[in-house]
Amino acid sequence: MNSTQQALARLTQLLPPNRVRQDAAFNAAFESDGLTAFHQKPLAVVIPESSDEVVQAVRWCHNEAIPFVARGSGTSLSGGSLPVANGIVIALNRLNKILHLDPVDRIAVVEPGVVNIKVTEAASKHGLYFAPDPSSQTVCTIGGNVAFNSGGAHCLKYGMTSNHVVGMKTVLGNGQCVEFGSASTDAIGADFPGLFTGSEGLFGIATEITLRLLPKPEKFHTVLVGYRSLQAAGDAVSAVIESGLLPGAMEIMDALSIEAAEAAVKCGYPKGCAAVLIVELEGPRERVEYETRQLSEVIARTDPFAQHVAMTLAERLSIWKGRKCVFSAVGHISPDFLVQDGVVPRNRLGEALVRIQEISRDVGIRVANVFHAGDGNLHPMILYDGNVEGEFDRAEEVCSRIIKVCIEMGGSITGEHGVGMEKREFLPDMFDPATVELFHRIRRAFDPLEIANRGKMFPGADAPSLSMSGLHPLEKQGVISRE
Amino acid sequence: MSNNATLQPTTIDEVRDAVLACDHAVIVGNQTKPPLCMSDGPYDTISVRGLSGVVQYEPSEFTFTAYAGTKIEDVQAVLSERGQYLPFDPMLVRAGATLGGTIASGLSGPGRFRYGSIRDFFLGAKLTLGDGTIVNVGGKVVKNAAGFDIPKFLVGSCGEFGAMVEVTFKVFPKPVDSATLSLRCESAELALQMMAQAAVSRWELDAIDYHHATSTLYFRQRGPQDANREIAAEIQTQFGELNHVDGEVANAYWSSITEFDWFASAAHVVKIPTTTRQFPGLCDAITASVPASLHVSGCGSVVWAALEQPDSLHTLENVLVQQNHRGLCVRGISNHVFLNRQTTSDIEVAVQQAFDPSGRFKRTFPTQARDSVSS
Repeated sequence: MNSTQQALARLTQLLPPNRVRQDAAFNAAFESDGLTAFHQKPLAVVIPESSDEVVQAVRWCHNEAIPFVARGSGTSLSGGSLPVANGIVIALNRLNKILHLDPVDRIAVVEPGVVNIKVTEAASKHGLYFAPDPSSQTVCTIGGNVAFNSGGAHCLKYGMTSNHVVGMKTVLGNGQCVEFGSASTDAIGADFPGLFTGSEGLFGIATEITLRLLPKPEKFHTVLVGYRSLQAAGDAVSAVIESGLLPGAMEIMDALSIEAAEAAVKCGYPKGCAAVLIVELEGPRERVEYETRQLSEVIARTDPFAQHVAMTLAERLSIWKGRKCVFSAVGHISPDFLVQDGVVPRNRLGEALVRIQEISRDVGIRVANVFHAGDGNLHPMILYDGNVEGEFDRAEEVCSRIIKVCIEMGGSITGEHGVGMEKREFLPDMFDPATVELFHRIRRAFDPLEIANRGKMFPGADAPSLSMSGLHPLEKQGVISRE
Repeated sequence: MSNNATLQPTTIDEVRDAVLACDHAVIVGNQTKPPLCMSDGPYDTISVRGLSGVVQYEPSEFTFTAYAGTKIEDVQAVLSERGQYLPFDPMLVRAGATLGGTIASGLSGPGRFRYGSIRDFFLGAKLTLGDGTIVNVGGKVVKNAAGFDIPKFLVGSCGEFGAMVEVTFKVFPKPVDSATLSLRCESAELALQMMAQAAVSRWELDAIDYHHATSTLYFRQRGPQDANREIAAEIQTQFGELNHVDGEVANAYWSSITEFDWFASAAHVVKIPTTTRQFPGLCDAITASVPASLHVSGCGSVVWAALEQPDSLHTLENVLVQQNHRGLCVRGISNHVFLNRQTTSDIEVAVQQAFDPSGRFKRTFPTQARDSVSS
């Protein structure tokens, strides 16, 4: 028995039976996450059933200097929960209890394995909900949302996950248990919950998280507008913003995305348009009615090609169905694809799209576009056939060039998926060496041995093997979709 | 240099030079929160009030970037011209608060209830570290998940990690109108019940504050006038006769909260984070022990305690210890800043060293000896 196996035997002794799994067939399910381009076999998978067991596992990792990756449902689109070579996976799915929900203080205290949508389901009877709504919200977990500061379609108005996390109990990479924040949305001193959220698992594991809940909007007004060009749709977004409206969501899809959505779910979007814009207003009915008139006047001035207002909940959901399915729908028009996640200043969306089209033509790879237009978050889908030699490399080249366009325009290399494995080589393109060095120092303050999610966010670490790309198995089953 | 000098750089390079010239530096703006502008032991003061001005404002992006010493009042004027605003109601605006000081102190006003506090609008910063290097943290766009979220970490950090020189904020379009309603609420417990109902209602109120000093509950709506009127009628049906506070009177009232002048005079003003559920007990305990005028803001997320007596900070600290709350003294002459401060944890020390290995920005805030607290 080598030293690693001896260490694993100690871990098995430390925890109750059946917590440590080393059988290859079982562990195969943990080799990859939502970024299926990478896979890596873990040494073992630990499945704790309490926060104490999580702490014991992390302390074992610290004592044995063995790296670990915390994982919820494995929906990360940046490879954030990809196992690390010679490390273990700590699967948090069994820590899935909502420990406390207080409608007076409007908070929920949850374990990290709680699925995002379950928080809203539990809060709903009190007229409350949890605002962050990544498209995978029916399966993704709060622990992952916290680690990667997940977004969704409503970030312009409501912010990202970090805006809705007020406190957490953690076990750090150095083995210490520390509590940050409180039940109050106010605080004294530096904002550790804010720093921990979005740290991509590099600081440790949040074993208990306190979330802020918001009152559910009473009324929605959802309108789908077709345009003759992408530029016209982009201009319409600017017109809406300049009118002083603050929609809950604004989404754009281009012709190729519409084609894919139509093929997949027959969403009934207007035929013949080059782009559609979805705008959703929300709030008390009196305000929404006023804003609806305002929006209608603005839209009328943008030369729309077609327009459809959802009159019923079913119609609203139908509009969103086309948008929400688009990533999995792309599988209907291309055998493989890569999805990109970049941000540009909103008023440069049109310019960014032109550049993306140029790159697409230049490299000879088709690109379909959807984006959260309200906050400039682009999600180009780079379509290719992995069976055609060289196409994957060309698709990657397109990805890389698009990200460089985002940086050049003063945007970000990621709006909501995180850096993870996928974009770690781009981190120095966005942040100067002094800032990256500061990131390293902060990371080592939490985790001097760098055992927590080693190999993510920072460039230069060993890359695991590239294997495949395309849909996540859960996407193929239609269980999850991407933003 | 550490001889109580005050340096007044006006450029980013000068800030860096000033930082390097000081062994121990306390960064200040217009010093509207005097207790946060000092440290124990020898130190020099670097005032960034001269590093002022809006660098970039893109109304269609809902963002602006400005130098850290820019007065919020000046920023508000620029935003107002384009119908935009900072929804979290910055504090001490008329008093001259700067962007940097507002971030470092972590103060937000009543408007924080609807869309969140300053942490939810602060996107990015250029920060001078203790060794003179300049880092760029966060971003300049409203959505960004790259790198550690250091901007959030700087909120409330009291300048202990570096000197902010440039900051980027998210802004929102200013609603077309606002309306303020008030009603007498004899006890904090009754106020709690009403606040809890209002907070989860369909009305999406902009601010829910309880003025403990006058036993009055205040609701602020922001939206079109007709909608405000209809919602107000429904609130009245639910809670009974309301006072519709006239626009100018309402503005003056909300301003008295953000400017800390709702009281005749106060020796100190202390911020005490709490929750909707906890504030009545806290208020009762404070008023039973200390002559103070209290205001509950953000639907109970914070209690502002204006202390009448200069020597009552220690008594208040006793109450906070018993109630398991913490306090931050933000107004009045005092070197007792953190009330019921917890022991600095290992991770706080380690992160401070990560930012500032030489300890140039490390502050020593005197903490009252525990035995005198319990005496």
